[in-house]
Amino acid sequence: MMLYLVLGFSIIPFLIVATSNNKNFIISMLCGCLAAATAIPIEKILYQFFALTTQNLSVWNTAFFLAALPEESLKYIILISTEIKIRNKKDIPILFILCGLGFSTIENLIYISRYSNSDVFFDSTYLMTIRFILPSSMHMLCAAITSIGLITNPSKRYHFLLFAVIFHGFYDYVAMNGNEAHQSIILPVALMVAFVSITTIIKAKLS
Amino acid sequence: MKVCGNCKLQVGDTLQYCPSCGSDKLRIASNSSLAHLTTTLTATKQNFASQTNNPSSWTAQSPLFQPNIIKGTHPWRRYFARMFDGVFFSIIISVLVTESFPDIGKLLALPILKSATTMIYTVAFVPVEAFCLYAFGTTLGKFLYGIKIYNKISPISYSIGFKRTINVLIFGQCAALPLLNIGTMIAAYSKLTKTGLTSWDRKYDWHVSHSKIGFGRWTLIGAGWLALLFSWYAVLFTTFSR
Repeated sequence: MMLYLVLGFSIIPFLIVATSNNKNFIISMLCGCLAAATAIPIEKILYQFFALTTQNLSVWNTAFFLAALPEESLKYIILISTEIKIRNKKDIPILFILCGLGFSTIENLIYISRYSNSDVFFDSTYLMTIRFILPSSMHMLCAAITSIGLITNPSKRYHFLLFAVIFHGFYDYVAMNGNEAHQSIILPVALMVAFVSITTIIKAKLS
Repeated sequence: MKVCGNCKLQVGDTLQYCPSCGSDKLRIASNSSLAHLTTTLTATKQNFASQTNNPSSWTAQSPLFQPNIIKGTHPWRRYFARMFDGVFFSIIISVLVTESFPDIGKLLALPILKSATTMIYTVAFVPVEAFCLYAFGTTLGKFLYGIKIYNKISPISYSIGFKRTINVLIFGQCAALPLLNIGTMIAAYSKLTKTGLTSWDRKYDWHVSHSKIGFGRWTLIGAGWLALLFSWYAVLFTTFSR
Protein backbone atom coordinates (compact mmCIF):
# COMPACT_ATOMS: atom_id res chain seq x y z
CA MET A 1 0.00 0.00 0.00
CA MET A 2 2.76 2.39 0.98
CA LEU A 3 4.58 1.57 -2.22
CA TYR A 4 1.61 2.74 -4.27
CA LEU A 5 1.58 6.03 -2.36
CA VAL A 6 5.23 6.53 -3.20
CA LEU A 7 4.60 5.56 -6.82
CA GLY A 8 1.79 8.10 -6.95
CA PHE A 9 4.10 10.76 -5.56
CA SER A 10 6.69 10.05 -8.24
CA ILE A 11 4.35 10.93 -11.09
CA ILE A 12 3.33 14.33 -9.71
CA PRO A 13 5.69 16.30 -12.05
CA PHE A 14 4.33 14.30 -14.95
CA LEU A 15 0.75 15.20 -14.05
CA ILE A 16 1.63 18.90 -13.68
CA VAL A 17 3.01 18.98 -17.23
CA ALA A 18 0.12 16.87 -18.54
CA THR A 19 -2.36 19.49 -17.35
CA SER A 20 -0.43 22.36 -18.92
CA ASN A 21 -2.33 22.00 -22.23
CA ASN A 22 0.89 22.51 -24.16
CA LYS A 23 1.11 19.72 -26.70
CA ASN A 24 4.84 20.05 -27.22
CA PHE A 25 5.57 19.80 -23.52
CA ILE A 26 3.44 16.68 -23.16
CA ILE A 27 5.02 15.07 -26.23
CA SER A 28 8.53 15.85 -24.92
CA MET A 29 7.77 14.34 -21.56
CA LEU A 30 6.24 11.24 -23.12
CA CYS A 31 9.29 10.97 -25.39
CA GLY A 32 11.41 10.90 -22.24
CA CYS A 33 9.22 8.11 -20.87
CA LEU A 34 9.57 6.20 -24.14
CA ALA A 35 13.34 6.72 -24.07
CA ALA A 36 13.54 5.34 -20.53
CA ALA A 37 11.31 2.38 -21.36
CA THR A 38 13.62 1.58 -24.29
CA ALA A 39 16.95 2.44 -22.67
CA ILE A 40 16.56 0.31 -19.54
CA PRO A 41 15.97 -2.97 -21.42
CA ILE A 42 18.74 -2.12 -23.88
CA GLU A 43 21.12 -1.58 -20.96
CA LYS A 44 20.11 -4.93 -19.47
CA ILE A 45 20.60 -6.72 -22.77
CA LEU A 46 23.96 -5.04 -23.37
CA TYR A 47 25.01 -5.93 -19.84
CA GLN A 48 24.01 -9.54 -20.51
CA PHE A 49 26.02 -9.48 -23.73
CA PHE A 50 29.14 -8.07 -22.08
CA ALA A 51 28.76 -10.37 -19.10
CA LEU A 52 28.78 -13.34 -21.49
CA THR A 53 31.70 -12.14 -23.56
CA THR A 54 33.83 -10.30 -20.99
CA GLN A 55 34.66 -11.69 -17.60
CA ASN A 56 35.64 -8.42 -15.95
CA LEU A 57 33.25 -5.61 -16.70
CA SER A 58 34.68 -2.55 -14.99
CA VAL A 59 32.59 0.10 -13.25
CA TRP A 60 33.99 2.65 -15.65
CA ASN A 61 32.74 0.72 -18.70
CA THR A 62 29.37 0.09 -17.08
CA ALA A 63 28.92 3.75 -16.16
CA PHE A 64 29.95 5.24 -19.49
CA PHE A 65 29.09 2.66 -22.14
CA LEU A 66 26.23 0.67 -20.65
CA ALA A 67 24.39 3.45 -18.82
CA ALA A 68 25.28 6.95 -19.98
CA LEU A 69 25.75 6.41 -23.70
CA PRO A 70 22.47 4.55 -24.48
CA GLU A 71 20.41 6.77 -22.18
CA GLU A 72 21.62 10.12 -23.50
CA SER A 73 21.62 8.97 -27.13
CA LEU A 74 18.07 7.63 -26.89
CA LYS A 75 16.80 10.78 -25.20
CA TYR A 76 18.28 12.85 -28.01
CA ILE A 77 17.27 10.57 -30.90
CA ILE A 78 13.70 10.08 -29.75
CA LEU A 79 13.07 13.76 -29.10
CA ILE A 80 14.69 14.89 -32.33
CA SER A 81 12.62 12.35 -34.31
CA THR A 82 9.33 13.90 -33.28
CA GLU A 83 7.37 16.12 -35.59
CA ILE A 84 7.25 18.92 -33.03
CA LYS A 85 7.10 22.34 -34.63
CA ILE A 86 9.45 24.70 -32.81
CA ARG A 87 8.34 28.31 -33.10
CA ASN A 88 10.71 29.80 -30.56
CA LYS A 89 14.34 28.91 -29.96
CA LYS A 90 13.76 29.35 -26.23
CA ASP A 91 11.48 26.31 -26.22
CA ILE A 92 14.30 23.92 -27.12
CA PRO A 93 15.95 23.71 -23.65
CA ILE A 94 12.53 23.41 -21.99
CA LEU A 95 11.57 20.52 -24.27
CA PHE A 96 14.84 18.73 -23.57
CA ILE A 97 14.56 19.27 -19.82
CA LEU A 98 11.02 17.89 -19.86
CA CYS A 99 12.28 14.90 -21.82
CA GLY A 100 14.82 14.35 -19.03
CA LEU A 101 12.06 14.65 -16.44
CA GLY A 102 9.92 12.07 -18.25
CA PHE A 103 12.94 9.78 -18.44
CA SER A 104 13.69 10.03 -14.74
CA THR A 105 10.01 9.52 -13.81
CA ILE A 106 9.91 6.13 -15.51
CA GLU A 107 13.35 5.21 -14.17
CA ASN A 108 12.23 6.14 -10.65
CA LEU A 109 9.11 4.01 -10.96
CA ILE A 110 11.15 1.00 -12.05
CA TYR A 111 13.76 1.47 -9.33
CA ILE A 112 11.14 1.87 -6.63
CA SER A 113 9.15 -1.18 -7.66
CA ARG A 114 12.36 -3.19 -7.88
CA TYR A 115 14.21 -2.17 -4.75
CA SER A 116 11.78 -0.84 -2.22
CA ASN A 117 10.16 -2.92 0.46
CA SER A 118 6.42 -2.30 0.38
CA ASP A 119 6.10 -3.01 4.10
CA VAL A 120 8.51 -0.34 5.17
CA PHE A 121 7.31 3.12 4.29
CA PHE A 122 10.52 4.83 5.35
CA ASP A 123 12.70 2.84 2.94
CA SER A 124 10.58 3.56 -0.12
CA THR A 125 10.12 7.21 0.81
CA TYR A 126 13.85 7.62 1.41
CA LEU A 127 14.67 5.92 -1.88
CA MET A 128 12.12 8.04 -3.69
CA THR A 129 13.41 11.27 -2.20
CA ILE A 130 17.03 10.47 -2.98
CA ARG A 131 16.19 9.37 -6.50
CA PHE A 132 13.99 12.36 -7.12
CA ILE A 133 16.61 14.85 -6.00
CA LEU A 134 19.84 13.47 -7.46
CA PRO A 135 19.30 11.34 -10.59
CA SER A 136 16.28 13.32 -11.75
CA SER A 137 18.29 16.52 -11.59
CA MET A 138 21.16 14.81 -13.38
CA HIS A 139 18.88 13.62 -16.21
CA MET A 140 17.40 17.08 -16.67
CA LEU A 141 20.85 18.71 -16.62
CA CYS A 142 22.22 16.24 -19.17
CA ALA A 143 19.24 16.93 -21.44
CA ALA A 144 19.88 20.66 -21.02
CA ILE A 145 23.54 20.19 -22.01
CA THR A 146 22.41 18.40 -25.18
CA SER A 147 20.01 21.23 -25.99
CA ILE A 148 22.82 23.82 -25.85
CA GLY A 149 24.24 22.30 -29.02
CA LEU A 150 20.98 22.89 -30.86
CA ILE A 151 20.54 26.48 -29.74
CA THR A 152 24.12 27.55 -30.37
CA ASN A 153 25.69 25.66 -33.23
CA PRO A 154 23.59 22.82 -34.71
CA SER A 155 26.56 21.54 -36.69
CA LYS A 156 28.34 20.81 -33.38
CA ARG A 157 25.32 19.33 -31.59
CA TYR A 158 27.00 15.93 -31.21
CA HIS A 159 29.82 17.54 -29.23
CA PHE A 160 27.30 18.65 -26.64
CA LEU A 161 25.72 15.21 -26.68
CA LEU A 162 29.18 13.86 -25.88
CA PHE A 163 29.51 16.33 -22.99
CA ALA A 164 26.18 15.11 -21.66
CA VAL A 165 27.36 11.49 -21.92
CA ILE A 166 30.59 12.34 -20.09
CA PHE A 167 28.74 14.14 -17.29
CA HIS A 168 26.20 11.32 -16.99
CA GLY A 169 28.98 8.73 -17.03
CA PHE A 170 30.90 10.60 -14.35
CA TYR A 171 27.78 10.74 -12.17
CA ASP A 172 27.09 7.02 -12.63
CA TYR A 173 30.74 6.16 -12.00
CA VAL A 174 30.70 7.96 -8.64
CA ALA A 175 27.28 6.52 -7.78
CA MET A 176 28.34 2.96 -8.64
CA ASN A 177 31.68 3.10 -6.87
CA GLY A 178 29.94 2.58 -3.55
CA ASN A 179 31.90 5.10 -1.52
CA GLU A 180 29.22 6.88 0.48
CA ALA A 181 31.48 9.77 1.47
CA HIS A 182 32.25 10.48 -2.18
CA GLN A 183 28.63 10.13 -3.18
CA SER A 184 27.30 12.47 -0.54
CA ILE A 185 29.83 15.20 -1.31
CA ILE A 186 30.85 14.91 -4.96
CA LEU A 187 27.45 14.28 -6.50
CA PRO A 188 25.55 17.25 -5.01
CA VAL A 189 28.50 19.57 -5.64
CA ALA A 190 28.86 18.37 -9.24
CA LEU A 191 25.14 18.83 -9.82
CA MET A 192 25.17 22.33 -8.34
CA VAL A 193 28.17 23.37 -10.44
CA ALA A 194 26.58 21.90 -13.56
CA PHE A 195 23.28 23.62 -12.83
CA VAL A 196 24.89 27.05 -12.44
CA SER A 197 27.10 26.62 -15.52
CA ILE A 198 24.33 25.32 -17.76
CA THR A 199 21.78 27.97 -16.80
CA THR A 200 24.40 30.68 -17.33
CA ILE A 201 25.33 29.33 -20.76
CA ILE A 202 21.71 28.90 -21.86
CA LYS A 203 20.77 32.39 -20.67
CA ALA A 204 23.77 33.88 -22.50
CA LYS A 205 23.02 32.02 -25.71
CA LEU A 206 19.34 32.86 -25.73
CA SER A 207 19.70 36.54 -24.88
CA MET B 1 1.73 4.18 -66.95
CA LYS B 2 -1.30 5.69 -65.19
CA VAL B 3 -1.40 8.87 -63.13
CA CYS B 4 -3.86 9.57 -60.31
CA GLY B 5 -6.13 12.48 -61.18
CA ASN B 6 -6.32 13.47 -57.52
CA CYS B 7 -2.77 13.31 -56.10
CA LYS B 8 -0.80 13.01 -59.39
CA LEU B 9 0.99 9.87 -58.21
CA GLN B 10 2.22 7.44 -60.84
CA VAL B 11 0.49 4.09 -60.38
CA GLY B 12 0.71 0.70 -62.01
CA ASP B 13 -1.37 -0.05 -65.11
CA THR B 14 -3.24 -2.89 -63.42
CA LEU B 15 -4.47 -0.94 -60.38
CA GLN B 16 -8.03 0.38 -60.24
CA TYR B 17 -7.45 2.67 -57.25
CA CYS B 18 -4.64 4.99 -56.30
CA PRO B 19 -2.64 3.31 -53.51
CA SER B 20 -1.83 6.71 -52.03
CA CYS B 21 -5.15 8.54 -51.86
CA GLY B 22 -7.67 5.84 -52.78
CA SER B 23 -9.10 7.81 -55.69
CA ASP B 24 -10.46 5.86 -58.66
CA LYS B 25 -9.79 8.73 -61.08
CA LEU B 26 -6.79 7.17 -62.80
CA ARG B 27 -5.83 8.25 -66.27
CA ILE B 28 -3.14 7.33 -68.74
CA ALA B 29 -0.19 9.65 -68.32
CA SER B 30 0.61 11.79 -71.30
CA ASN B 31 4.09 13.16 -71.98
CA SER B 32 3.02 16.62 -70.83
CA SER B 33 1.59 15.39 -67.50
CA LEU B 34 4.73 13.36 -66.85
CA ALA B 35 6.85 16.42 -67.58
CA HIS B 36 4.68 18.42 -65.18
CA LEU B 37 5.08 15.71 -62.56
CA THR B 38 8.87 15.75 -62.97
CA THR B 39 8.95 19.55 -62.62
CA THR B 40 6.77 19.39 -59.48
CA LEU B 41 8.92 16.66 -57.94
CA THR B 42 12.12 18.59 -58.64
CA ALA B 43 10.68 21.73 -57.05
CA THR B 44 9.45 19.88 -53.98
CA LYS B 45 12.75 18.01 -53.71
CA GLN B 46 14.63 21.32 -53.59
CA ASN B 47 12.11 22.66 -51.08
CA PHE B 48 12.54 19.55 -48.94
CA ALA B 49 16.32 19.77 -49.13
CA SER B 50 16.35 23.43 -48.10
CA GLN B 51 14.04 22.72 -45.16
CA THR B 52 16.02 19.74 -43.90
CA ASN B 53 19.16 21.86 -43.87
CA ASN B 54 17.48 24.09 -41.34
CA PRO B 55 17.90 22.31 -38.00
CA SER B 56 15.19 24.28 -36.25
CA SER B 57 12.44 23.20 -38.65
CA TRP B 58 11.18 19.98 -37.17
CA THR B 59 7.94 20.29 -39.05
CA ALA B 60 6.07 17.34 -40.46
CA GLN B 61 6.94 16.70 -44.08
CA SER B 62 4.47 15.05 -46.36
CA PRO B 63 6.09 11.82 -47.53
CA LEU B 64 4.99 12.66 -51.05
CA PHE B 65 7.59 15.41 -51.03
CA GLN B 66 10.35 12.93 -50.43
CA PRO B 67 12.06 12.02 -53.67
CA ASN B 68 12.49 8.27 -53.07
CA ILE B 69 8.84 7.30 -52.62
CA ILE B 70 7.87 4.31 -54.71
CA LYS B 71 4.43 3.17 -55.80
CA GLY B 72 2.59 0.01 -54.79
CA THR B 73 0.87 -1.38 -51.72
CA HIS B 74 3.70 -3.59 -50.35
CA PRO B 75 1.65 -5.78 -47.98
CA TRP B 76 4.58 -7.99 -47.01
CA ARG B 77 6.72 -5.03 -46.14
CA ARG B 78 3.96 -3.74 -43.90
CA TYR B 79 3.55 -7.18 -42.34
CA PHE B 80 7.25 -7.48 -41.47
CA ALA B 81 7.34 -3.89 -40.17
CA ARG B 82 4.48 -4.68 -37.81
CA MET B 83 6.13 -7.94 -36.82
CA PHE B 84 9.33 -6.07 -36.02
CA ASP B 85 7.40 -3.60 -33.88
CA GLY B 86 5.61 -6.43 -32.09
CA VAL B 87 8.79 -8.36 -31.31
CA PHE B 88 10.66 -5.19 -30.27
CA PHE B 89 7.86 -4.12 -27.96
CA SER B 90 7.53 -7.63 -26.48
CA ILE B 91 11.23 -7.65 -25.62
CA ILE B 92 11.08 -4.19 -24.07
CA ILE B 93 7.98 -4.92 -22.01
CA SER B 94 9.29 -8.34 -20.95
CA VAL B 95 12.46 -6.77 -19.54
CA LEU B 96 10.55 -3.95 -17.86
CA VAL B 97 8.08 -6.36 -16.24
CA THR B 98 10.86 -8.74 -15.19
CA GLU B 99 12.86 -5.88 -13.72
CA SER B 100 9.95 -4.32 -11.87
CA PHE B 101 7.93 -7.39 -10.91
CA PRO B 102 10.13 -10.49 -11.27
CA ASP B 103 7.40 -12.97 -10.28
CA ILE B 104 4.95 -11.72 -12.90
CA GLY B 105 7.72 -11.62 -15.49
CA LYS B 106 8.59 -15.23 -14.83
CA LEU B 107 4.93 -16.23 -15.01
CA LEU B 108 4.39 -14.48 -18.35
CA ALA B 109 7.47 -16.17 -19.79
CA LEU B 110 6.11 -19.67 -19.18
CA PRO B 111 5.64 -21.57 -22.46
CA ILE B 112 2.11 -22.65 -21.46
CA LEU B 113 1.03 -19.00 -21.31
CA LYS B 114 2.71 -18.06 -24.59
CA SER B 115 -0.51 -17.25 -26.49
CA ALA B 116 -2.01 -15.29 -23.61
CA THR B 117 1.22 -13.32 -23.18
CA THR B 118 1.31 -12.52 -26.90
CA MET B 119 -2.27 -11.24 -26.70
CA ILE B 120 -1.52 -9.12 -23.63
CA TYR B 121 1.56 -7.60 -25.27
CA THR B 122 -0.29 -6.97 -28.55
CA VAL B 123 -3.07 -5.10 -26.74
CA ALA B 124 -0.56 -3.23 -24.57
CA PHE B 125 1.20 -2.06 -27.72
CA VAL B 126 -1.91 -0.16 -28.92
CA PRO B 127 -1.42 3.09 -26.92
CA VAL B 128 2.32 3.04 -27.60
CA GLU B 129 1.83 2.71 -31.35
CA ALA B 130 -0.82 5.42 -31.30
CA PHE B 131 1.63 7.76 -29.56
CA CYS B 132 4.39 6.89 -32.04
CA LEU B 133 2.09 7.64 -34.98
CA TYR B 134 1.05 10.91 -33.34
CA ALA B 135 4.53 12.08 -32.36
CA PHE B 136 6.76 10.60 -35.08
CA GLY B 137 4.33 9.72 -37.89
CA THR B 138 5.81 6.23 -37.88
CA THR B 139 7.04 3.45 -35.61
CA LEU B 140 10.49 1.86 -35.40
CA GLY B 141 9.56 -1.07 -37.65
CA LYS B 142 7.82 1.18 -40.16
CA PHE B 143 10.80 3.54 -40.11
CA LEU B 144 13.21 0.69 -40.80
CA TYR B 145 11.11 -0.55 -43.69
CA GLY B 146 10.65 2.98 -45.07
CA ILE B 147 6.94 3.22 -44.31
CA LYS B 148 5.29 6.47 -43.33
CA ILE B 149 1.65 7.07 -42.45
CA TYR B 150 0.05 10.44 -42.96
CA ASN B 151 -3.15 12.29 -43.55
CA LYS B 152 -3.23 14.86 -46.32
CA ILE B 153 -5.85 17.11 -44.82
CA SER B 154 -5.17 17.27 -41.09
CA PRO B 155 -2.25 16.27 -38.86
CA ILE B 156 -2.60 12.95 -37.09
CA SER B 157 -4.12 13.27 -33.64
CA TYR B 158 -3.57 10.79 -30.84
CA SER B 159 -7.23 9.74 -30.78
CA ILE B 160 -7.29 9.04 -34.51
CA GLY B 161 -4.01 7.15 -34.18
CA PHE B 162 -5.51 5.14 -31.35
CA LYS B 163 -8.63 4.35 -33.38
CA ARG B 164 -6.55 3.22 -36.34
CA THR B 165 -4.40 0.97 -34.16
CA ILE B 166 -7.52 -0.54 -32.58
CA ASN B 167 -8.90 -1.20 -36.06
CA VAL B 168 -5.65 -2.86 -37.08
CA LEU B 169 -5.74 -4.94 -33.90
CA ILE B 170 -9.31 -6.13 -34.52
CA PHE B 171 -9.62 -6.34 -38.31
CA GLY B 172 -5.98 -7.03 -39.15
CA GLN B 173 -4.69 -9.11 -36.25
CA CYS B 174 -7.90 -10.41 -34.66
CA ALA B 175 -6.44 -9.38 -31.28
CA ALA B 176 -3.59 -11.90 -31.83
CA LEU B 177 -5.95 -14.83 -31.31
CA PRO B 178 -4.19 -17.95 -32.60
CA LEU B 179 -5.43 -19.27 -35.98
CA LEU B 180 -8.20 -16.67 -36.21
CA ASN B 181 -5.63 -13.96 -36.86
CA ILE B 182 -4.49 -15.80 -40.00
CA GLY B 183 -8.00 -15.35 -41.44
CA THR B 184 -8.13 -11.61 -40.76
CA MET B 185 -4.62 -11.14 -42.12
CA ILE B 186 -5.53 -12.93 -45.36
CA ALA B 187 -8.67 -10.79 -45.67
CA ALA B 188 -6.69 -7.59 -45.06
CA TYR B 189 -4.04 -8.70 -47.58
CA SER B 190 -6.69 -9.39 -50.18
CA LYS B 191 -8.39 -6.03 -49.62
CA LEU B 192 -5.10 -4.15 -49.75
CA THR B 193 -3.88 -5.72 -52.97
CA LYS B 194 -7.26 -5.34 -54.71
CA THR B 195 -8.21 -1.81 -53.72
CA GLY B 196 -4.87 -0.30 -52.72
CA LEU B 197 -6.10 0.56 -49.22
CA THR B 198 -6.92 -1.39 -46.10
CA SER B 199 -10.33 -0.91 -44.49
CA TRP B 200 -8.89 1.05 -41.55
CA ASP B 201 -6.91 3.42 -43.77
CA ARG B 202 -9.94 4.04 -45.96
CA LYS B 203 -12.12 4.66 -42.89
CA TYR B 204 -9.90 7.43 -41.47
CA ASP B 205 -8.52 8.70 -44.78
CA TRP B 206 -4.98 7.65 -43.95
CA HIS B 207 -2.32 7.10 -46.55
CA VAL B 208 0.75 4.94 -46.45
CA SER B 209 3.88 5.75 -48.42
CA HIS B 210 6.83 3.46 -49.04
CA SER B 211 10.40 4.56 -49.65
CA LYS B 212 12.80 2.74 -51.91
CA ILE B 213 14.87 0.18 -50.00
CA GLY B 214 18.52 0.47 -50.95
CA PHE B 215 21.58 -1.43 -49.74
CA GLY B 216 21.95 0.71 -46.62
CA ARG B 217 18.37 0.19 -45.53
CA TRP B 218 18.57 -3.59 -46.16
CA THR B 219 21.69 -3.66 -43.99
CA LEU B 220 19.87 -1.72 -41.30
CA ILE B 221 16.90 -4.11 -41.46
CA GLY B 222 19.19 -7.14 -41.22
CA ALA B 223 21.09 -5.62 -38.29
CA GLY B 224 17.79 -4.78 -36.60
CA TRP B 225 16.48 -8.34 -36.85
CA LEU B 226 19.81 -9.78 -35.66
CA ALA B 227 19.75 -7.44 -32.66
CA LEU B 228 16.18 -8.51 -31.88
CA LEU B 229 17.12 -12.18 -32.13
CA PHE B 230 20.04 -11.75 -29.75
CA SER B 231 17.95 -9.64 -27.38
CA TRP B 232 15.22 -12.29 -27.30
CA TYR B 233 17.70 -14.95 -26.19
CA ALA B 234 19.20 -12.54 -23.65
CA VAL B 235 15.73 -11.84 -22.24
CA LEU B 236 14.88 -15.54 -21.96
CA PHE B 237 18.25 -16.20 -20.32
CA THR B 238 17.75 -13.35 -17.85
CA THR B 239 14.17 -14.34 -17.00
CA PHE B 240 14.86 -17.98 -16.29
CA SER B 241 18.27 -17.56 -14.66
CA ARG B 242 16.80 -15.54 -11.75
